[in-house]
Amino acid sequence: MSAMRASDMNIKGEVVAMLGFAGAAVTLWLGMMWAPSVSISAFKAPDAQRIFYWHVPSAWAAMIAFGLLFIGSIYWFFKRSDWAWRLHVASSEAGLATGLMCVWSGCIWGAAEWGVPWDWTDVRLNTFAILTLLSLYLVMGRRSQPDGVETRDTFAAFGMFGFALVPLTYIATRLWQIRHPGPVVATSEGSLNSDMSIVLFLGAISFTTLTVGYVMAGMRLTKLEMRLEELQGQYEERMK
Amino acid sequence: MMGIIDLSEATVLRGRSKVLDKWSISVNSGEIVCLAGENGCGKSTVIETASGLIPLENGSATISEQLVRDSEGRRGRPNFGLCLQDDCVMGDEIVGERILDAAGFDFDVQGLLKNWGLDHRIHDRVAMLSGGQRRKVALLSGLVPAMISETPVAVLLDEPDSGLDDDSIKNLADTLRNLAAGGHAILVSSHDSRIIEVSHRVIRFPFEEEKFDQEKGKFTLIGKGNPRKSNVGHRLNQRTLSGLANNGIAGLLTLGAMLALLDPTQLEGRILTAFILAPALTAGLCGNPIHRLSLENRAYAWWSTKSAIPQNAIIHSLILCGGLTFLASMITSGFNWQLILSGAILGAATEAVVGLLSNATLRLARPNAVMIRLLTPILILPWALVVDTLTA
Amino acid sequence: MSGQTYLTVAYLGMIGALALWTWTVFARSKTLQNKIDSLEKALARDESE
Repeated sequence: MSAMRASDMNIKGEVVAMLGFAGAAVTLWLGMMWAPSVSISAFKAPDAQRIFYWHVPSAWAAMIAFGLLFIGSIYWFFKRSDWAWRLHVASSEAGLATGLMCVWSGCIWGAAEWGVPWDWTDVRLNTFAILTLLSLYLVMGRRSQPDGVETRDTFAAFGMFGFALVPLTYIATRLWQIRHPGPVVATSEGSLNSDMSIVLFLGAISFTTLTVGYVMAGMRLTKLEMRLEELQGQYEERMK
Repeated sequence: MMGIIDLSEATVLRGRSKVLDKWSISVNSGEIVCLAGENGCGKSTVIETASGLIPLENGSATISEQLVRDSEGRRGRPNFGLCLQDDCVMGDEIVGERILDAAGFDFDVQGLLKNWGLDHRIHDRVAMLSGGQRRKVALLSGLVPAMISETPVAVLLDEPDSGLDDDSIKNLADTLRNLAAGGHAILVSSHDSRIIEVSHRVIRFPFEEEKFDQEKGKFTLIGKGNPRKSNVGHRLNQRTLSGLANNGIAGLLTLGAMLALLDPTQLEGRILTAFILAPALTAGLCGNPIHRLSLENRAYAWWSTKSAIPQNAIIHSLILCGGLTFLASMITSGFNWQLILSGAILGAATEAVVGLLSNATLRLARPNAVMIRLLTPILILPWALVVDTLTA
Repeated sequence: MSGQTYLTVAYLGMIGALALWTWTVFARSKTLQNKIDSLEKALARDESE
């Protein structure tokens, strides 16, 4: 049996993630130092508006991660695909990290701009929060259980049905908004200055690259873990 | 022709292994089939698959020609007797009641228990019994559907002899022989020679099969009375006050905490409505009080073969949440039937949703280790909408 | 709080989340490496006996 070393392994995922990191760091620098300031008349907290350059890309990356989570969950549940399970695992972790970034930055920006950290009328904030909590549940839950078809079925089912929460949250927040129409907060909608668009676009590419890199790395690690368990089982059989 | 118990081309995964691979078995009327084999070879998997507890990757399970489960996920719940390796009895069930619930009909349970040395315990809670006595209750729960039936009934028993004394095992062997004589089909897994000796077929798992001629027993039908509705959830909740202890206390604490900080006479509008409905929400968020009880000895598994709806005490929940809302309402603004009704329904609905979420984790090896409460924040939204609607 | 403070808090939180995520990936890789090393040692011991 050939020996394996994780360090000798193909580490494409980590390389892609590092590229994404570099891009995110550049986005941060550009967002702080180069992007134009916004006008005081349009924003109550113009300085805090720069949160936008990571908040929006992290939301975009979170959407990708949650989408991959949904796909992985469905494919495991109906096709029993090992690849799909690895996608579920990696994308739940990615969804947790990017979702936390999005919700956290959204709350802080909300506190600065709206005066309150939460707005029940904001569909996106509520939806992302629900899906982030779902990801946290999946990540923590999976660590508490031995791997097996029962664990995978249970968490894949949660991964799939958690998405039923998205339209429900939409309906609930829309109902709330109908009852409490208030000023719609300007976020990334409306026309953007071209320099801001460049930074935002760079941020979106960087966070996408980062997320894809981490999902690839996560999937590779899960594959190695499964292979290791298989070898441990064979070793124990040999010892009998 | 299909047997009374039929597992056809069944493929079953457990953990990381494929335990059954397109495996089939058929148990006919009047037959006792014994599964023998070393521990961990898959005997329990066969019993649990045939009773519909485990999903199938391929094939189907039928009992009395009615579908129990198939690989498409379809499920049915025909009448059959079941005794799993876990006793599947909740500690607060009463011996006589449990046997009657298993039968689904009223009948002379005292007489039956006397044959098994349990008649003096007929009114005792299962938690008061010794391990062997509890095992007998579990065993009788599995046997009684056949004992009261004139038509062939399937009986599935997983290591029924474990924990029993010699006399009880002999009694069990005789009972099986007599039930087979009555046309019932019995699938039993056992290591015990006395059970193997009365079997018509012994399958040394997975493929080695031996057939034996057996002397015929004598089936005596136990007469039955009216059908009986179980309602075990409400009965247990009343007996244990589990709903009050978990959900009720949480609701009261919420009310108490709010009263410590707020002057109820100064509240108005949405804040007042939220104050009144908050205890019901908290009570609901504590989840189904019967769920916790049903985890004992894997009782939920046995009950899931009887009913698609998990055991619950929803009527009690409506009363409790209505009561909490009534209390909050009287302390603040006086009697308001709309609020009280809304609190009752909101609390009970919240409890039902949390109960369903908890139920979805039952296949896990460690269902208590998952943080199901992380998924409950969405329940704030309907509560907030109800508060808002009632204030408008 | 000033806009700058909100900005700093937001970015520190997001950087913290990224750092935690990176740490978990590398921690898993390390745990895996340790398990592989133990298995290799056990196998080498088995073959030499």
